[in-house]
Amino acid sequence: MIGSAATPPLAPIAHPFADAFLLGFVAACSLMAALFFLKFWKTTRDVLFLAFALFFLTQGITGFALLGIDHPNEAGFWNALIRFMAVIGLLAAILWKNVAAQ
Amino acid sequence: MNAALYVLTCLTTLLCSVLLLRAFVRVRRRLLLWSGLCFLGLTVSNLLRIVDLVFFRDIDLYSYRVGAAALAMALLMYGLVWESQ
Amino acid sequence: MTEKDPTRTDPYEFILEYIDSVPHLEALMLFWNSRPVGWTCEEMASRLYVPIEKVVAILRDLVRLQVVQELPATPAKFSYLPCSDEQNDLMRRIDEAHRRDLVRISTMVHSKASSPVREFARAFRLRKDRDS
Repeated sequence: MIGSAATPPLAPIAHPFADAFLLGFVAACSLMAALFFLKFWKTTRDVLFLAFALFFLTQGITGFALLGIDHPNEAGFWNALIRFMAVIGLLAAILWKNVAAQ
Repeated sequence: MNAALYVLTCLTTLLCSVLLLRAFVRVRRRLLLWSGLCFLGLTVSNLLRIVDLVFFRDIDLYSYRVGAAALAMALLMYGLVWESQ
Repeated sequence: MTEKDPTRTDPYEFILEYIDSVPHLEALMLFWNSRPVGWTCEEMASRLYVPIEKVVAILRDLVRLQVVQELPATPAKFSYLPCSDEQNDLMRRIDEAHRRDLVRISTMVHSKASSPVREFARAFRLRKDRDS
């Protein structure tokens, strides 16, 4: 498992403040993107846009969750799992879009 | 295993990027260009994360990871605001 | 054209899926009712009461749908493209619906999501259908 005693520790972050700013920027933009995709879902009723909205929503929330911790460059298991579920949701929506069309 | 999750995320964003840029070439809607480039940037960010966490743990790549993601999201914001009508 | 595709046989489905604006529909009906006559961009603009840039965009979209063709002439002229009997049949039904049900069709077209958004969704269709 990444970050366990068997793997060497990650190098310290060189620019913590700049990186925190950029992370906040990414998280804020992700939430805005999620809002746009929610609007598109509302107008088109296409589940694909809902999947994108959830993808960017999780990107935003997990991004904000990383802002307070000491090693944001090494996100924990839960962070990765939540993002993974959003990715699975997106893949499922793309698959659904193609399978359901037949 | 976290690495597998990151690889899958990387492949998914790459798929989105390819589909959107391919569609842009066909129909020339600029929203597709900006969102395609966004997912390309997210793919790069994810790739750098895998490289950072698995292969080069002694070099700090975090600024590049988050910088790529920031650029990607900025492009998407531009596209959503100006090109989604 | 896939005959089994409902968006290619039902006039309302076709309009919902492929017609981006009311001028698009008016242009298509103009081409259909005047076939095989060719029209230049200027003639279209004055007939449809839309600016020429809009006419160029409309023509690009209709050519991409393969319902309109560019004729070899200077200046460029465009006319209806009689692809197949199914398409002619569809055009006939769209024409009827357009004459009979204009208010409902206009409302339907106006309430659609903008076409960049629909193109975004369409980008994720992996089928190599000519309209995807």
